[in-house]
Formats: sequence, C-alpha cells, structure tokens
Amino acid sequence: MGYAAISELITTNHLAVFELLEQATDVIVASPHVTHVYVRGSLVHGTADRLSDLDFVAGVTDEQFCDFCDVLDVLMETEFNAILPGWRDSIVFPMGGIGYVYLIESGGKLQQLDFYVLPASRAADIPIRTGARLVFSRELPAAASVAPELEASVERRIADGRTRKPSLVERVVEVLVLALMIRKRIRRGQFFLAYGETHMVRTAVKELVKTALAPYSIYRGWYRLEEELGVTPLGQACVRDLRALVAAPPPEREADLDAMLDRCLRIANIAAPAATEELALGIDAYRAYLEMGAGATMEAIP
Amino acid sequence: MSAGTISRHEEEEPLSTLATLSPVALARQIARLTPLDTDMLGRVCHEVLTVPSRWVAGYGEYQSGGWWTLSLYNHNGDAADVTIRDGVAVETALLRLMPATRAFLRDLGLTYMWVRIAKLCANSFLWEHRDYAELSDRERSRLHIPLVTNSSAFVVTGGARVHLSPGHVWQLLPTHPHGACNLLGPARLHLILDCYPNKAFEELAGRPALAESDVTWLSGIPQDDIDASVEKASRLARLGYPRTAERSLLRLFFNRALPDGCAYDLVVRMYESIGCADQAAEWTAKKEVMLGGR
Repeated sequence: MGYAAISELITTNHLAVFELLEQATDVIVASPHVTHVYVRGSLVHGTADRLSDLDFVAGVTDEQFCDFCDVLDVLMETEFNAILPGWRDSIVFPMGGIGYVYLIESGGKLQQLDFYVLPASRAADIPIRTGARLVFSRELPAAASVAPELEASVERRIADGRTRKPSLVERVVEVLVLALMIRKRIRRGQFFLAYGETHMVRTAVKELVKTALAPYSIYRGWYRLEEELGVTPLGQACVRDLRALVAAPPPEREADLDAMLDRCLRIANIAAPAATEELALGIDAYRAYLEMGAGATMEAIP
Repeated sequence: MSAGTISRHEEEEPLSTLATLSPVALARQIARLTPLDTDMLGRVCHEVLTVPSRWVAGYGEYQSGGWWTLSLYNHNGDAADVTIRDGVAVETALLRLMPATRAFLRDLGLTYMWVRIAKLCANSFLWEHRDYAELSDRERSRLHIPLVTNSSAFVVTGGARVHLSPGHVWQLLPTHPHGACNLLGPARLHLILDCYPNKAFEELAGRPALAESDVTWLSGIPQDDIDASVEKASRLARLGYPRTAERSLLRLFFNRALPDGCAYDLVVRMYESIGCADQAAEWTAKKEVMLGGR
C-alpha cells in the first residue's frame, strides 16, 4: 500500500542530479544522430548521494562520430555551463569510444559530468558490458555494415583520443578535475580512492612540468627529473615545489586538499603561465564555487 | 526605430567601424562614479539575497535565458512588472519589504524612471543590443550598483570588456551597442537604476573615471578563425544543435573585438552555408531589432 504523502516526500527529497539527468538527456537527444543514451555508475546501482556525478554514455552514428567529438567542448560550454574544457578521461572503463570529464555549473553548484561517446555500431551491447542503464534509444534505418574507410577513420580518432599527449592546458584541467574528485572522496571518507587520485594529480603535475620545460626528454616517468629540470632557477623552483608536493601525505581534510591544489597551480603557473592564463576565468569560477560550497560568497561587497 | 537621446554631457565621438574605442571614448560609455558606503551596501546585498520573491524573466528577445529581474521602483508598484518605460516611478511592494535598500535608494536623492534588481546566472548573456530604442527622446541615464559578481561577469562595448566591481556606482550609456555576460558564474547581482537628470545625479556623476584595471581590451579575430568558428557552428547545426550553433557565434562578441552586429552576421552566414534561408532571414531581422536598424 502506498502513501501519497510519502511519495510526495520522495519527490521533494530527490537528488538534484536526477533533474540534471533529465535536462541533459533532453539536450543530447535533440540531435537525430544520437542513437543511444545510457547512464552508468551510482545512479544505476542505487548508491547515489548528493556528491554523485553524472555518468553518460552516448552512441552517435558512425558517420557523425568524429564531428560530434570535435564539437563536444562547445556543446558542453554552451548548453551545460561547463566552466573548463573537457578532460580526456584516462581512468574510465574502455567501451570502444572516448570519455571526457566536464565540470559544469548546475543549480549554483559545481557538478562533475562524465561523458563517454562511442560510435553507434558499438553501442548496442553497452548494458551487457558495463551494467549501464538505457534511458534513450532511437531507431535508425537499418544500414549495411560500416564501410571500412569510415571504420578506419573512427578508429583513428579513438586511438588519437587515447594516445595523443595532453597539452599543457589539458594537464591543468586534469589537476582541477582530479582535485574535485578527491574532495568528494574526503567528504565520503574514501581514503584509498583519495590516495589513488592524489597520485594521479602528482603525476599530472610532473607531466605538465616535463612537457613545459623538458619537452624533448627521452626519459620516462620520474627518471632523471632533477637533472633535466634543474638546469635553471625556473626549473629548480619547479623541482622544489614538486618535491614538496610528492612528499606530503595524501590529503585527509579539505584544508589539506586546498593547500595541495594551491601548490599544483603555483607549479603550473611557474612552468606554463600561458596555460594558467588561458584558464584564468575557469580557475576563478572553480574556486568561487568551492568557496560557495563552504558558505562564502565570491566577490561581494569588500 | 529611433535611438535614445545622447547624453547632454558631451557630443559623442563616432564609433569606428571595428567598434574599438579609445580609452577616453570608452569612459564616456561606461565609468565608475562615486564610491559607496560598504556597510550599507552589505545590508542591501543581504536583503537582495534573502528577500524571497519570484524573479521575472523579461526582455526575452535580448537574452539567452538566465537573466532575471524584479522592480523596486516602477509605475504601478507591482515588482513583477519589469518592462521599463518613461514616467513617474513609485516604490513597489517588494521594496517595502527591504528597509535598508529602500533607505539607500531614497538617500541617493535621484529621480527614478525605474529601479530593478537583476540576477544574471552562470552562462547567461544579454546579447549585443542598444537600449532605450523603444523609448522617447527624453534624457535619462543608467546606473549599475554591483552587489555580487565574479571575474567572468562583464559588460562588453566598443571592443572592450569592463568588469563592474562592487563598491562603486557605475554609469552605462546604453544607447551604444553593448552586451553583458556572466560566462562561468556564480550568479551576478546588480541594482540597475534608470534615472532622469537632477542635481543629485549631477553630483553623483561629476567625476566619471575608468581605471586601466577595469578594462580588458579585446583583440580582433583573424579571418581564418572567424571562418573556423562559422564552420564549427555549421557542424553543430547539422548535428541537430542549431541553438548551440547560434550561441557559439553570438558569444564571440564577448571574447573578441567585432564590428557592431558582426556576431549576428556570422549567424546569418552560418545558416546560409547550410542552406537554411528562412533562419538566415530571421536572424537578419533579429539584428535590426537588437541594434535599432543601424
């Protein structure tokens, strides 16, 4: 037996992320070339909380797949209030496409939106492979198998998405995205996940510095870092800050995370000032939303 | 459609065809006026953030969505009436719930045509336009008092971005093409005062100034980049996202120095390139509405 009042309470207390899910789906499926929209993650498993992100998987016709990837950043910025370009997701389960993570403004708060796009020819069995839930599908005229040239072009695009070395701007975005994830882990008490993502942040900062100051290095990982970077005061400053970054324990409180993020952005500003300048407004907005989450209002009356 | 009256202060310099103004000319269009008492402003800000009411989305043609206003002074006392027009203004019922704001506005001693609170949400735009085109030729001025803002909220006019920081009254001469944006948020809150000249206004506006730090001069955009933007927008439209395509081009006005109306021309060009003559004609007409036929 149901109770109308309880149903109303459930509706009143529903997570804002479900409203976003509906609005975002409406936007995405406006394109007749989107064949499938799936949702993955905690929303499907019933473990979502107020911190949960939105995990989309979208199938796009093979013919339009590359174009769709090319315009995704503009779509996210214009329709979803993304405050930064997308971060090419290197930790998502591979499903035959490319994944991006966006930080979007929704309801006055910062929200993480994971968007994985793949060619429609690979989209039908996503639920079996991943446990994702279908929220939309579109029947298109039955086509013959995908032409080899088209398949090759799509595969080249996907491979490029996996293997292309991130730019300096993309590395800064990576740090900001990961820092938001770590904040979530701290709030939930997920120590090991926070540890893993902290390591990723440190690696991203190291890679940013190497790309900026030792772009032709033949050494991989952390090998010969001091020797390659420490040839100038600029490089020595980066090495010092990088050493402090990796020597600190993984943050267990948000204040420690804030300090870590400040250090990362300082290093980025030393090594790649053009990248941080390009993202200046996005970084300001990122900080503003975090401060609002902590109860402060940005740039009100002094 | 006629333009509003030019300010009596000085004769305006003609705008260049690239809409890039000299610093002096820019300061005549938008400038800081007098500083304000921060304690009082803090109280006004608190009232604006906490007085519950239903914000109104007016001037739909001029905005992207995300611009909401309520009237504090208008002609009938109904705060939800936000379509400005000439006449004698009275306090609205909303203002009577905001004693600090009411006292603040009275103490300014201005002769109001209209006073609004305006909220500009993240990723929201007042597209390039001229104001007052529908009004009479009576002289009036527009003042902004920022209450809450952020670094990605600014006014663009004459090829310059001007960030209106809190703590001062700002004057905007809205008959020149201009737009406002809040690119990334959080939400921006301003008081907007449309007023007629009087002694108090002359004292308030006696020393307009614009600091270098208030202004970011926008760079021009090479033709190749323009072509690339139009091409990307065309792809968006062909993918089934025409509104996104339009907005991606309109947003260029806020990032680059463009000639007046150029952003609208690019939307027209985009639709022509994909064979949508009807939509191209619609946007040609829209440009006339937004810029007053110039």
